[in-house]
Amino acid sequence: MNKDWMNFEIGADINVEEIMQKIRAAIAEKQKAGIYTEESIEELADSKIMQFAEEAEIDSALLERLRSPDHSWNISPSYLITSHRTGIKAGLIKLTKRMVRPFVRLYTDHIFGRQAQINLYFAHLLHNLVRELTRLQINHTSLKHRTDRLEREKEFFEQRIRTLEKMVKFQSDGESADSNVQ
Amino acid sequence: MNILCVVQRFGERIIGGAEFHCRLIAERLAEHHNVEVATTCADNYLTWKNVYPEGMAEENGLRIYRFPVERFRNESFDLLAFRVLHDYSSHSEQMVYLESHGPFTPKLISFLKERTDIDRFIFFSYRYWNTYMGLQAVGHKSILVPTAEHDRTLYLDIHRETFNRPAAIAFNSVEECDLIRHVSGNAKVPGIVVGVGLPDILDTAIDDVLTKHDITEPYFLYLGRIEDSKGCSTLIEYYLRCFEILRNLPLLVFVGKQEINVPDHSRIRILGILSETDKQALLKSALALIMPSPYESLSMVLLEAWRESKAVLCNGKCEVLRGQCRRSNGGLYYRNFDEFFEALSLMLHRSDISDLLGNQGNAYYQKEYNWSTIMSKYEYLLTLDVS
Repeated sequence: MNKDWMNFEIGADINVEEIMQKIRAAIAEKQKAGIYTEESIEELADSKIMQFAEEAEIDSALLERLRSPDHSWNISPSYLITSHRTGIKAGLIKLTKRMVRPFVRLYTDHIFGRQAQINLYFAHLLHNLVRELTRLQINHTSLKHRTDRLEREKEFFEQRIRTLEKMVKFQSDGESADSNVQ
Repeated sequence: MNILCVVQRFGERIIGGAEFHCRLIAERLAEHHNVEVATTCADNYLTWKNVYPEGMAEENGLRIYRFPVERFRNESFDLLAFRVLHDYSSHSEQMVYLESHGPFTPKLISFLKERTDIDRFIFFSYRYWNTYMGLQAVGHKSILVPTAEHDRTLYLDIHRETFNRPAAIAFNSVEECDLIRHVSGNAKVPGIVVGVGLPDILDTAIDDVLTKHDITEPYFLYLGRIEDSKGCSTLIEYYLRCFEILRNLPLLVFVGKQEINVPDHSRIRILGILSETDKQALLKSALALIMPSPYESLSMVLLEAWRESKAVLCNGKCEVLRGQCRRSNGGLYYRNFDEFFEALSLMLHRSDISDLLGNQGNAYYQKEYNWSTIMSKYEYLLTLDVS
């Protein structure tokens, strides 16, 4: 664990936002080095999902429901029996609806249930795909950085080898010149 | 001035933010005014079962009127709540929801209408049926203390009425004020940020308390109900993840009623419900207070920590907690595990920063939350011309 960033000077007062910036900078440094926690991958995946949704111009209320941890966005065979009327009329209407409901649900529950399962499966699948995609992109970037670094190191070593070869050649040329003089 | 405070539950045994808030304010107001309290006979905000006897009682110099709850929550409430809060719902559906949410106390509302001698009604907590109906009845001479959190209930259309009915509003924090103004469009209703102070400090022998609870090493402290909605599960998960990286992690001590299962771990200690003196002693010797709740209108626990010059580490996803930290410069906040880990490590590695944060928090508490400031704000609201 790198504690170097914590060794900063403080005055008589301290500003919380300045410390939070230092904390965020330390996290960004770790991420640059390819150290991501599961949660930061999740956050990146989440922002990617948000970006897709914004491009698709989805209603923000629906988007909030789609992103909530419960399954409130999904269709459900359960529903409330209400009426906007008041008094006896409301009571009668609610009673009728209650009597009819079991027969309606006999035919609709199965269909709704299956569709809800399919929706859930696809939502799960797509969410995991985005997460995996994000993970792969992070791995890809990290590997690319590593390849670049290796490439630069290779160039440096080649340069070093060339310099050393030249030095050896120079020394051997000098030695042969000396022996000719002798 | 004749003042009647209206709250969903009231009593020394009642643990709850708004209820405790009401008790503190009512007792302080009673020093200069004739203060009474109207409430229900219930002691549980989920079942609303009538426990206290109906009628008048005297408690701590206050006259309390208790009214029975006449309708209790049934099995369909959860379905109804889910439907109303998560879906587009009509006004009548929201009214059905509010009645079911309770506490349904028509006698209390009739009582408010009969009390023409009252100069000001003070309603605590916007989300209950009694507040909605009470404001419909006597809103023109009422002060509302919303204690609103940023959850789905706030967005119900019926609560636009709740926030537009009172003569004045006493907000708990700047964030709560902005949120309510934004959601309800009640700019015409006068209101100021007031908050609440803390009860007087009791003498505590710290060493005795630590010995009694067998605490012999440094610890971070959590105070409050140990439940999911307070962010405790996430806190435990984060803390145990930190333990995988920092093996010399201090203890995490929980004080409060346990509502969730907590893993048996060497770094976690649950002390359960403790007396105020024990809580204060534990706070005095803690490294810092951790507050993981995602929904708050004002965290009194944060104020308690700052009164003891303790730094806090709180959930930054809650605008109010984040705002309190920023304004006071008295604590750090986190919005994910990475930030939690780094902030916790910083507090452990740099005790000088932790101490300074605690001192700054204390200065903020002394300036903004002393009782004379709080009560002068109430006096201002009480004397507003509501004609």
